Amino acid sequence: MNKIKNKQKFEAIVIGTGITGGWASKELSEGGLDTLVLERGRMVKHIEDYPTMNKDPWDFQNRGQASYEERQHQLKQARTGYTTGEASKHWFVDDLEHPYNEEKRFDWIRGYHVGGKSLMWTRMSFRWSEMDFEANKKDGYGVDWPIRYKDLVTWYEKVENYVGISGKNEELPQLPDSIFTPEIALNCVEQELKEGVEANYDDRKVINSRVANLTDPNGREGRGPCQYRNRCIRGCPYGAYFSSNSSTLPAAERTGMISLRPNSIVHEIIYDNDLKRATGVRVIDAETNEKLEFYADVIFCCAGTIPSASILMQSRSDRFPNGLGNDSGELGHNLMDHHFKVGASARADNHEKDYYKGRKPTGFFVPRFRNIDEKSTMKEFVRGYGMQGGASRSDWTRAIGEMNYGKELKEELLKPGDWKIGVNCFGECLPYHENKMMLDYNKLDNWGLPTVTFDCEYKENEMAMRKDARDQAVAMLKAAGFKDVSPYDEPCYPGNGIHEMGTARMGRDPKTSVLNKNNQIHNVPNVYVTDGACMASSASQNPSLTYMAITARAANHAVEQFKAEKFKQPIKQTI
Amino acid sequence: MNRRQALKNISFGAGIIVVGPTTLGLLQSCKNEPKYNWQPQFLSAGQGLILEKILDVIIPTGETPGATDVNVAQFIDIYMFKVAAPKEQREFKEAAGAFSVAFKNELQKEAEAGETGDFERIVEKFLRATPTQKEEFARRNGETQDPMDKDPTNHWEKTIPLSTEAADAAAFAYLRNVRDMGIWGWKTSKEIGENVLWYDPVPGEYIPCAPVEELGNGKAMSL
Repeated sequence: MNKIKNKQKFEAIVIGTGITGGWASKELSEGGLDTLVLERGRMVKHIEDYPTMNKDPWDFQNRGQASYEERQHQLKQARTGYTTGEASKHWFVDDLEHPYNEEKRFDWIRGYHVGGKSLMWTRMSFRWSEMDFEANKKDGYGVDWPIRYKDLVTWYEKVENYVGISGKNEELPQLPDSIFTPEIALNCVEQELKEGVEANYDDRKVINSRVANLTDPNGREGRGPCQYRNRCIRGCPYGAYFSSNSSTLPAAERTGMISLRPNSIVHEIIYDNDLKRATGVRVIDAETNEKLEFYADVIFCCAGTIPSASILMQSRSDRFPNGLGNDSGELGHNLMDHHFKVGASARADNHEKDYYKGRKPTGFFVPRFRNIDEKSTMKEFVRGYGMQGGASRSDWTRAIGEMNYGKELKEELLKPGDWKIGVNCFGECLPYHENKMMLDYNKLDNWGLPTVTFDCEYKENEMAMRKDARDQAVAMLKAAGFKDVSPYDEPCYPGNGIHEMGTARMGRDPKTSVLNKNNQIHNVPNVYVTDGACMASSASQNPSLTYMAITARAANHAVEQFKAEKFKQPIKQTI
Repeated sequence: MNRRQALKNISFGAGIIVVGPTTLGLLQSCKNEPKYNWQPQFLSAGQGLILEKILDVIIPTGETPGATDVNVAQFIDIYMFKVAAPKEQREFKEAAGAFSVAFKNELQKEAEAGETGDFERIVEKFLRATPTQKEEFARRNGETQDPMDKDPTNHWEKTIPLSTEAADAAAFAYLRNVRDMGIWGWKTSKEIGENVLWYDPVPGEYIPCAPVEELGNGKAMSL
C-alpha cells in the first residue's frame, strides 16, 4: 500500500477484481506490465477472510437465518431468495448504503469486495457455440458480433486449463466441449431422467453439468479438489472452486508486477483531448473520501456490467459529452440478463433404498434444443433456453406433510426424505435498445456520485419461450416416469439471474456499438471493457467462462499493443 | 415453592390471557428448580412453559434426545424475537394466546397447569383431527371477522373473549407452526446434527448412488 501511496503512474490499470478483473490482472502482469488493480470494496484474502466456511447450522446465531434487523439492510439483495442468510450475507452489499432506482423492477445483486462475484457465483461454465455468435446476424436482433467462435477457441482452452472445469465430452454443436477434468456423476434419479428423456426424445440430451469445481486430484497451484461440502458460496478453504481470490489474483501477485488497492471507487476515466486517449482514472477512497488520480497507458474496465457502463457515462469530456466511447448512443443500452424461474418439479418413488455420499455442488444440464437447426425451428420465438436441475433426497418433507408426532415422527425424521427432482429453465434475452440503465445526478450516493436507474423488462419473445420451457420441462419429467409433476412459472425480473450484460456492446460499426473486436473502445483504443458490458447478445448459457476467455484474449492483445508502443503514438480517430 | 403449584395459584379469567409481572416473578423464583432456568425473550414466561410442554409431546425424549433436551423451545423463542417479522411475531403471539384458550375450553384448566397427559390430549385433538376438521380450522383462520383480527395491537394481553371455534382454529395453526419450527430446531441442533443424524462435514468424495443402509448407517445426512 505504501508503494501505491507515493506512486501514481503505472503501465496498466485494472478496474475491478471479479472474474474478469482477476483475469485481466493475471494476464497483464504476466505479460510484464506494471499493473494497478483497483477494487471499490474491502479486502478479502483467500481462506483468511471466509468467516463462515466451516460453520454448521448450529454454529450460526439463528441457524442460518438473518435477523429481521439485518434483513432491512438487504431487501433488494434478498430478492434472489438464497443469498442473504447468515452463511453468505457478508458477500452482498448493504442496499441502504448502495441505493439504486427502478423505473421498472431490476434486481441488482452486487458484491463489493476483492473477488467480486467470483466468490459467490454458481460456477456453471459452458462455452458458447458458433450459432450463438451468429445469432444476431441471422435473425437481425441487435448488431452482429465482431468475433466468432474460432476467435475464442484458444482462449477458452487457455482459461479452462487454468480454471479446471468438470464435465464430460458430448460433441454437441450447440454446446462445444471444454477441456474437462472428470465429470461429477449424476445420481440415480438424475440418471433415470437422462435415460427416460433420451429414450423418448431424439432432439435433446441430459448431461452432467459443467462447473468450475476442481475434480482433478492433482489440483492446481494453491488449489485442491472438491470435498463435496456444497458450501461454495461461503468461500472454499480448499480453493476447489475457481475465484479471483484463490486463483488469478495470487497468480498476478506472484509476478511481483501488481499493486492491489481495495476501497478505491473509480468513478471516471480521464480522457486527454490532445493525445486522444485515456490517461488515467479518478478515484474516491471509500473509507477516507480522499480524491485520488492514477495514470496508466492502458486501462481495463472490469468493474461489472453496470458499474463499467456507469464509469464510462461519468467520464464526460468535450470530445465525449455523453460518456466515454458513447459516439453511438448505445452506452447503457441493450441491457440483458437470463430469464429463469420457470420449469417443473417432481417426486421419484422407486429409489427409496438409494442414497448418495457427499453434497455435490451441481446437478444436470439440458443443452438448448430449440432453434438450433431447421427441424427444431420454432414459430413462437427465436433463440432458445437450457435447463438446469438436480435430484436429491429432501430433508423432512415427508414428515412435515403428514401431521404425525411423537415417537413415530422422530423415527421418520432420522431417515432420508423423498427423492425430489427439479428443472429450472434459463432462457436467452434479446438485446433491446430500450432496455437500459441511466444515471441520476439528482440522487447521489454517500460519495456524491450519481445513482443508477434501471428501465428494463422482458418482452414477448422471452414470454413465449417461457411457456414452451415450462411445457417441455413437464413433458420430460413425465416421460421419465416421475410422479407428482408440477409446473411453475414464477415472476422473474431482469437482474435476478445475476447475468446482467450488454451495456457497452462489441460490434463492427462505431455508429452502433461501443467496443471493437478486441474489446477496445472505438476511437479510444487504450481503454478495454471486458466484463459483461461487452456482450452483443446473451445466448442461454451462463456467461462467466466466455467473459474469462474474452478478457484473456483482450489482455494479451493489450500486452502486444503496449509492447509495440501503440498506446504512445497519436491516435487517429474515425467516425 | 413448587413451580406447578405456583402457576396453579395464578388466577385467569375465562378466555383471557394475562401474564403480568407477578407471574414472571413467580417463574423466576423457581429458577433454582432443576431444568427450569429459562427466561424467554419473546414469549411470556407462561407461554414459554407451554411451548416446552407441547414440544415434549411432538418430539419426546426417548432413545434419542427430545426437543427439550436440545432446547428447541428456547430456539423458537429467540427465532421469533430476532428473525421473525413484526407480522409473524404478532400472529405467533396471538396464536399462542388462542392455544391457551382452546386448552382451557377442552380441559377445564389453565394450560400452564397442564400435566403431560393433558398436553397429549390437546395435541392429539388438533394434529390428529380429521381432514374435514382440519379444513374447517384452516377456513376459519382465513376469515377476518374475529375480534382479534380487528385489533392489530397487543390484544393477546387484553381482555377480548374468543369464541371456541376461533380459539380452536388458531390453536390448530399454532400447533402446526410449532411442529414445523420444532422439527427444524431439533434437526439443526448440535446434538442431533452431530451425534444422531449422519454427520459428514467433509465428505471428500461423491458416491452418486448406494444403498441407504450402507451409507451413514441408514440415517439422513444432517448437513
